[in-house]
Amino acid sequence: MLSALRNPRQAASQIITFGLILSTAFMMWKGLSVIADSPSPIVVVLSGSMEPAFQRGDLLFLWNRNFFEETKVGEIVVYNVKGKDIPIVHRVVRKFGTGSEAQLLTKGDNNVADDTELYARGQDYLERQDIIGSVVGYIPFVGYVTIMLSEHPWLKTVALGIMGLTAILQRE
Amino acid sequence: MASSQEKIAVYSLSDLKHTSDDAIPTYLNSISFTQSHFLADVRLGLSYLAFAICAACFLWDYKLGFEDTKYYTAIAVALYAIINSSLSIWIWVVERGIVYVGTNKAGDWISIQSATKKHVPIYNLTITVTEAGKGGSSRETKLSRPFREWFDETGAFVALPFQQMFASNVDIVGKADPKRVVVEKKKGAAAKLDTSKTMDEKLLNLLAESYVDVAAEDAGTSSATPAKGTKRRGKKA
Repeated sequence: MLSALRNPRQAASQIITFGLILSTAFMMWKGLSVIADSPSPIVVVLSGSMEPAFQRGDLLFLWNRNFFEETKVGEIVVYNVKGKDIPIVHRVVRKFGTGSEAQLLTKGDNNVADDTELYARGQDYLERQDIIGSVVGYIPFVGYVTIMLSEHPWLKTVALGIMGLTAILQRE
Repeated sequence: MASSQEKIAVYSLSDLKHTSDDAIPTYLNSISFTQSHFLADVRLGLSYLAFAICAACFLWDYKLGFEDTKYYTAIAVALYAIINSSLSIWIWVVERGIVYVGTNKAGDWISIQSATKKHVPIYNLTITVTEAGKGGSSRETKLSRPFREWFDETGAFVALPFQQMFASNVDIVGKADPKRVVVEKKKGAAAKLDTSKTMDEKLLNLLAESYVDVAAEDAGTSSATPAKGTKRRGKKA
């Protein structure tokens, strides 16, 4: 480490090794976003409102392109409500009209009522543009790590710090 | 820094290799070789370019959102993939473990490639020399030496035997630093024999040697430490 400070090329190379790990992860995420046409192609289920289909901590894969058919009743979609930045995973239960103007109503399988309560003030239905993707696959439980990280934010700092230190101190 | 004061863990192969790799430019630059940083500079350039593209992509995504920028993001992802693959090709095909490229005052060109095999404490060097005015023909010297020749048991780097290895085996280094050339006919023959043997035979030889050394030291016949290196090599013959 000390000798690295005396050799600028070696120091630059060790820093960028860490930088490339981060940037490759980010670009892979962005690549997936572009392919699925969704700002967030992988989400973690945060609530039990879709039980028994999905539990808290399940990892969902989203697809946001309508190549063959429109989003239809029965599909499980992830949508963002205006003004709230937490994506919600619920099932489409009603659809009126077609195309991008179609009016969609969603409901959690495990909820008693439909989602009109959850939508923004004055909003009675969703449009296609509110949806960030339909669920096409899932892995149970592995997303629990991110729930841990968001409920205990200091874990993030610790994990990032350890990663950074090992990448800089190690020369493998 | 040849890190002659810094001690390393002698059982860590990567520490052994990196310390030795770092000692090569220190030595050759000190005997009037001029190091060329072209390989490292291209590698760093590609790395930082890729990182800059990623940083820009992150910024516009953060400021403007996904929908408005997704075509630029797609282009950035494609560019990043291309640059990163060229970087891998550069490291695996062009650099191939080259730790030193340099020229001396006469214009002779030297390139040194180092490698180790997993869990085998032997330093494998491929030294390519292209002498000026010989029509670009180059000679390749391969050396395989155990790290213990230039690390003592506490993990300190001992520069002299390391530098003697280069001075004795590479003639343009020898010419630049005649003081460190060890002339020993038998040794040269033994070194040549060594390269024709398989790895297992070499290891057996090394083991046998170390036993002989211990036996000799126990018998009280070993001389002072500085002579140790040459003594060991003498036995190999």
